[in-house]
Amino acid sequence: MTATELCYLTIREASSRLQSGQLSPVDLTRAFLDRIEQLDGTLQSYITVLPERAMAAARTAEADLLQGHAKGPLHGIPIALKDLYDTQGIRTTASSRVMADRVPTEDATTTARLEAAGAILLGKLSMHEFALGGPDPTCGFPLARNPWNLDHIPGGSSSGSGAAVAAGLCMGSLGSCTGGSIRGPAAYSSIVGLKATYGRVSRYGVVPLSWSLDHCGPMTWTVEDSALMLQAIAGYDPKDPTSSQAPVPDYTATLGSSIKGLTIGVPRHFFFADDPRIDRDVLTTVDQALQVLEELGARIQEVTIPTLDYCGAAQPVIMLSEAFAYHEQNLRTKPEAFGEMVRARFRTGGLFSSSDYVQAQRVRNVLKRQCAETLRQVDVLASPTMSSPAPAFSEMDAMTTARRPSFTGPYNLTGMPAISVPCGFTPSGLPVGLQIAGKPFDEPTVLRVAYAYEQQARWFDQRPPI
Amino acid sequence: MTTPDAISLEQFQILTERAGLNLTPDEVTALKPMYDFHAAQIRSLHEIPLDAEDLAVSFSPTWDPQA
Repeated sequence: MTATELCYLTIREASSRLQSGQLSPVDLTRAFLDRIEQLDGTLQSYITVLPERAMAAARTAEADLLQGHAKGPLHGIPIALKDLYDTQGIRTTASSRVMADRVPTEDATTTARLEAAGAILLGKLSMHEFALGGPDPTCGFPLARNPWNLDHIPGGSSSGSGAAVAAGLCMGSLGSCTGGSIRGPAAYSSIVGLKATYGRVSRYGVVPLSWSLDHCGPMTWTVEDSALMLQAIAGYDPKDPTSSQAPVPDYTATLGSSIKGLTIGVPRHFFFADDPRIDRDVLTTVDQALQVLEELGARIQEVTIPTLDYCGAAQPVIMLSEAFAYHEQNLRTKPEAFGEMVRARFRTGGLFSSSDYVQAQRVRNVLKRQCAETLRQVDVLASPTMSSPAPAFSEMDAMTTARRPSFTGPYNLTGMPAISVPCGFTPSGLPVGLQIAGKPFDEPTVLRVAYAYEQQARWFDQRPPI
Repeated sequence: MTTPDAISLEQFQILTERAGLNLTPDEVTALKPMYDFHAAQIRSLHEIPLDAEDLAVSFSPTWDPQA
């Protein structure tokens, strides 16, 4: 296989070759490091690359596999982490000058679980500063570019994760999501991004943006790969006070099961509204994806969730209020260390009243209840992931994200699992994502629907032209 | 662009001082449009009749970090 073909293997494909001895983790890791060196000067998806550490881990993995000590499907798989995830002894910056020299003394729980599964860490990925909107050239860190069109953003805040997975610069990544920062870059970069149920994946050791909205999850080329990564990181963590003790199922067990008879709810009143801020090409593309799901035997049913209309008001109040609380000290003592966009947004969070915050949390409860009631009638909800395709860098300012309706934020408010899977391209060649959301802790059904669509549509056969 | 219900620049400055932001006059002026944008949306939140609706986030006394 050529080096490019190696880097374009899925985790499942690579794992099979690694465990049968057809492929060495050393050769695979070297292929990725070479490709990063070749392409990342343009893509800027990495903040920190760890070639010596990665090769050492690859040699250890090779020895383990040769001796028959396979740890599981992630053993020997090169991955990268959003630079929000603490890595012991390796700087973790959150893409901010505020943390430019921060070197954690302990791995995040998710970092440790991936290492225990035998994954090989290639490096730390670029992101929007402190996981909040961007990209901001004043943050002092590289801005990742969209491999499908370098003049456009790859989405955020897990921007480097989206770009690196799409361009074959890592086999999988972890992103974080407070309002859409896993699914947004997944949609814009034509990859899969899974925001697991709140509490499903530990947030310990992940720099917080908003404690009650932050979620962690995988970003990969395929749905199955996301299921494999989720399997390694899901589960109770006593260090995270919001971690759930709900049992962890086998996330790959029902992939490939028919979706015939499943009911898919579509809140068209919100996601397909007659709103000039919602791109018509995106809606057309997603409607075509819904048709595919129908052809696969699912029943599409229009549903109404009235409180969706208030998510755009509620989510930022909660997010920015909690973010201000975390950053308050630094905002007062060294505001110049923040990039302009994030500084302004965090400062705004300090200006909301307590009754604003409480009201937003109460509206959130109404939304949770309405979604739960709807999910008694349907199995999952489907929609476009984003209201528009990836904007150009030239279009971005501090308010760009806030002005567009958020199609991802509602599922951060509710904590429901939600995935974005590629569903096509606009006439101008920009990727479009299909979002599937489900009942709390029902990742298996969400993955099953996404997998069924993915295998039928096969958008994963197309890689970006780089 | 300010809406008819937007607070004045002077009132906004008091808000920023109360939050301990210590902004320069230029920074106050620059930040106000972002606040006005969110404030307009927040007004809609306060107009929803929620009766005795509970908070979405409740304190749980049962977490044991040693578990």
